[in-house]
Amino acid sequence: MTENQILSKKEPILRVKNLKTQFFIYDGIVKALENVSFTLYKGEVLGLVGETGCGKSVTAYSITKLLADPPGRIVAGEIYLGNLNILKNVFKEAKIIPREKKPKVKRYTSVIKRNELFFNQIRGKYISMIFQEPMAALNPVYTIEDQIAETLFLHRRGYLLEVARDASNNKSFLLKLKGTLDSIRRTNEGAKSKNKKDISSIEEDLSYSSAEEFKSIYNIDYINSNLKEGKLRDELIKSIKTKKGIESFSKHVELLIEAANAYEKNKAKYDKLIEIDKRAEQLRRDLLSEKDDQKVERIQKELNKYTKSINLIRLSKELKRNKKSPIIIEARREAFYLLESVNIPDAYGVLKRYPHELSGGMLQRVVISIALANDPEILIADEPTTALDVTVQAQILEIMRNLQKERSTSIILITHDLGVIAEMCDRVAVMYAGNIVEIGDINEIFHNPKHPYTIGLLSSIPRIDNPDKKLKSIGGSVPNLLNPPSGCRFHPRCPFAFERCKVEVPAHIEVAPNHIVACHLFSGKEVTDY
Amino acid sequence: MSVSQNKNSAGKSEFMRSLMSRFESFKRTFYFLTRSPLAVTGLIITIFYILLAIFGDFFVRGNPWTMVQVLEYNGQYIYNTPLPPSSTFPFGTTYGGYDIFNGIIKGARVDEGVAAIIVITGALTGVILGSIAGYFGGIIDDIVMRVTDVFLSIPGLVLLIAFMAILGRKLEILVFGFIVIWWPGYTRIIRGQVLSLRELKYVEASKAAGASAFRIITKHLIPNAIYPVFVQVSLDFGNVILSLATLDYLGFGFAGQNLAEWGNIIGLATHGASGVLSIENYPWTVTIPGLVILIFVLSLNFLGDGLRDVLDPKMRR
Amino acid sequence: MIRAIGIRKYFPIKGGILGTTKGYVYAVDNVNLDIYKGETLGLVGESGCGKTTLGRLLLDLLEPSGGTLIYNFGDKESKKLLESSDKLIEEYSKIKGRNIKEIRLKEKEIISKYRVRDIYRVGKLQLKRFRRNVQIVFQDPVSSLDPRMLIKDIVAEPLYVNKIASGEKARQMVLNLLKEVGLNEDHLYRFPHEFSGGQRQRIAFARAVITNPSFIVLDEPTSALDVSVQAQILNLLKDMQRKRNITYLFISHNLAVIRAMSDRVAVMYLGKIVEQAPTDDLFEYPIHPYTQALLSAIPIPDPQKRRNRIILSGDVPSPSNPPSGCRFHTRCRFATEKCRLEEPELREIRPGHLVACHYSEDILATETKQHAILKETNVESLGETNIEQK
Repeated sequence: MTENQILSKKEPILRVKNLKTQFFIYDGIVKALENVSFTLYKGEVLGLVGETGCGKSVTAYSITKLLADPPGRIVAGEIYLGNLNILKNVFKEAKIIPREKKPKVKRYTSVIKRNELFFNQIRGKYISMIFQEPMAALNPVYTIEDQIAETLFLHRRGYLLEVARDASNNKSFLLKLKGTLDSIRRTNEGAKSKNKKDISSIEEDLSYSSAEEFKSIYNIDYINSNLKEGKLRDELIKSIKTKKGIESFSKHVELLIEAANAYEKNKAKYDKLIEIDKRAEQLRRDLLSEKDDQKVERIQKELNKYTKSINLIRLSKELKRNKKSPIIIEARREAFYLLESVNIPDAYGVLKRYPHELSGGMLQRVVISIALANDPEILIADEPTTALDVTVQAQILEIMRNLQKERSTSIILITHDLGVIAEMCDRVAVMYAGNIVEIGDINEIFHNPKHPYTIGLLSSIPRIDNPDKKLKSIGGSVPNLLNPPSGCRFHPRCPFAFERCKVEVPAHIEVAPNHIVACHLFSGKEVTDY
Repeated sequence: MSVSQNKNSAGKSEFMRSLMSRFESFKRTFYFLTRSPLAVTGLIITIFYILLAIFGDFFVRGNPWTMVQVLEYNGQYIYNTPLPPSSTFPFGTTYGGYDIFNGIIKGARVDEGVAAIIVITGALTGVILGSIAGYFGGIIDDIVMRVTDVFLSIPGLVLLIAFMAILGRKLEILVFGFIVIWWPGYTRIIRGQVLSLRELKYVEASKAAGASAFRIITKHLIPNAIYPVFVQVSLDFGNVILSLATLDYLGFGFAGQNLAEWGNIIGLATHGASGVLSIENYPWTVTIPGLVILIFVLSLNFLGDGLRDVLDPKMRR
Repeated sequence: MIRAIGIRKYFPIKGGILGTTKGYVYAVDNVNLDIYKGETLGLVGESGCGKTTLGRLLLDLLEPSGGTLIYNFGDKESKKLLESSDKLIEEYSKIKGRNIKEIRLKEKEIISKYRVRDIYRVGKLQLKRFRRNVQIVFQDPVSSLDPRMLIKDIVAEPLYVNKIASGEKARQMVLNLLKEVGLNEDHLYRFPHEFSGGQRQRIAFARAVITNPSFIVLDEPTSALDVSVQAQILNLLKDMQRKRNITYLFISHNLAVIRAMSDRVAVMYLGKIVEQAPTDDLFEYPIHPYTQALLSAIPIPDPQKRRNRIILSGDVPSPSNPPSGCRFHTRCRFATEKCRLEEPELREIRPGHLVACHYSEDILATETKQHAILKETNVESLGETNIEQK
């Protein structure tokens, strides 16, 4: 299933080049990432697989700049989001003074703060991340609703308000819709199912005639014919696509009307906010496509100003004063929609609950919905299902796959479980001790592995479809990255190692279309773009 | 070489090797401690005080336990007139004609010795009771904790005053009273630690191997639970001395007697002829011993904080 | 070699001001299990199913709420006890329900009638002998070794405790064993935190093996380890088993590892064994709907084997409030009214293959023919047919 032709037509979304990250600790320098490069294409799922200490999580944290600093620092490399190298200013943050025993790292906090403002724009909006422990990912003292709303406030305030405005402009239609829905529901009082949570099919709890009537309004053409193009239309169509039935739809319409009313109370203020946010959105787009360095600096400065104005503390103060703000109501509706899209039962009820009331699987779904709330281009999932039971894992992976297909999000899936990789990924990168040793199309890697480490890894995993009880293991253990082996870091454990391996770091060679290996056993064209 | 010789040398070298490993680990802890300048300061000053207690005797004259009394100086009757610091009396004198410097040096041994006895006895009692309560749980835990709660709710100083009033103002009574007040705190600490540690797998593994409760408590639980106790001990040293001083200041201690004890020196001043007015007229009688206590307690606190940071398992890497 | 009858463990849930018992967590509910000498029995299930608790009950590390545990170490007494145990199985199977007091009473009757002296009721001396003969290895390599003790002391502890050896002799035994598991003399005098996870598990295993036990419970021994290290440890376990003829109970939630290690497998769900069979049989002909779902949920490391998924809806019910009748009926795609009312017995459907489901025979006949859960399927020919449960 080599898609190399299709792949070359694909658009690169993220390009990581020669990333080098180190940790400066008491015992010395941990050379966590030696030289990591890869490209992520639009719409693909790239797996990052390796064992403890190989650097896969460090790579993710380097991309999103969530590295614990101190003691970690990105010391070299470029990461291109669009045309923009987001690491450009990162090296100005600290100066590393090499010294005999222990290099000293001098950090410049003002630069760090400035860069943080910038990365706050990127995180959550362009690159989202989900982590391993769902129980620990959410703040236990805030409701689910508040936590989803948080990311919406930060990145989509303008959009929420625009929906409210559009709802206000089309209020008559909404009111008519509500009227129809209410009457359908009334005539079905008796026929409604006892278990309100269980509304999965549109017609389930409606009598025949009501079902027909409902279907006539619960469909995309009807909405299209009655509304002009705009945010309200998009939102209603989104809601219809979730197929959650009449209760859910009614709730959406109700909330839209509420938001419209709230907007009308202070049109001027909200209009201004919409303009500000639109400008920010434009700035962001320019930032990623602009090639001129000076212009980029200017745009960044303006964006930073905007980000400062949106900081959460101010936001929560403002919202406390203004509980009936259309921003809140719309955020709630959006959160409701997000929970529905990850198939959480009784989504509206769950909004008001606290994390401890939900199970691990449910929480991970919430986490996924938060990550995807702003439609990011890239989702980084760091061992998202490792802490979950196998049956729950199957559910979560399915959700991720569906959402990914729907929205064409590119995913970097980090895990040590080769089965999950085989299930979910289009391409996979095998990491060992801070390097990518093999990367390529998934079938190539699994059925035609070239690097000795990959071969060893594949033959050492027990499988449920293989009755063979013999397991081959790779001798030795993962090296300590304080003093990694010279040359190829795998050479001490490699059954095929020879002299050159101890001295020279292997280059990345293309051994087959869409199959790159870093090993001296192979010769061929060296590639830098993979 | 005969077998017995072999065994012996092997036994000795085994002991040495075990010791070496433990020493290495200790060195590492010590290194972390030196990272914090406050902790180091605290450590140095504390060591100084301890040395003072041990070797102080060689520098001062008179009975090691009591203060030197000078009734006449330069023709003056100085019983009620404290003399300011001078070359003869580096810290001056206080009411009753007692040489303050003399008293401070001797007092180091008394104070520290008394504090040591109190804190260590209290800690031992607390550790034993706490670990038993924590390990066995159930009704034993309930009983021990209720008793501990009772003792914790008695206001310490009031109890001490009552003791002294009934049983006499003797040092032994005071020490006993302090121990009674102090042990419940340690019980709580250890019990908490043991409760969380006993769920750990190595305890279960020992149980599976057939280890007795005694062995588990002494070999596994206590060595791992003891860290907060170390920290608390260093802090309590200071707290005991402070409490002693408080008692003396209030007049319920040894005021009037000539026991060389820092708090007592203050007590002599505040219960001398002009009472509290002495602070105005003869400040050194109160401030000097006060400073001595202050510096010691502060250093102990720094040291204790440093220890707490160092012994925190997260830092042990 | 080991026979467990009617094992139950109910953990009381205390609440309220007076600390009264508000309910119970029915962690292990009336389990019968036989383990044969020299075999590896795999015990599999998801979190909360009770497998860890069962492992501990089999070693008397937990007090059971009910049941009898008979060990046969080859001596006359045990053999006699084992022979009479068939009767006991019958009697115990008559005890139904979950009321602890009732269960205790009924058990008392049986025990006095047959004069059972099983592990739970045996004297101190025999208990000591028992402890020497059984051991356990845990999942977490970090907390299973006392961080304040030297390796040599950790591994030698069972020797001291059971008064088998001490001093130089003990040191020698420890050294030999460490070499066997792949470590060396320098490691004797080090502390646990200086070792990697894999090495720590070796140490834990050495500690378990030093008294030469005949039975070892391995509780998720490799779950916290990397894949390549896991293979090393599993190979080590197999070697030792061969050399010393040890019987293993291998508890894991990882079915692939279970398949590689076990001779027979038992699947647990909410405190009960729902299916039990020789390994290959279980993986090729899974009968119980839960086993089928479990197997189909596991991703196979082969991109060309993306297959039909049986996706269970919802989460595992709480063990403090298990569903009535068959515990799996709330998520089972074949559930009927009967399943809701009546709890199925564990019955032998094929030789050596026991299943607890009312419709086992039907499932065997139709499902396993079509379903072919582990058969190869081309990705193209697959639709994403998710058989979702209502």
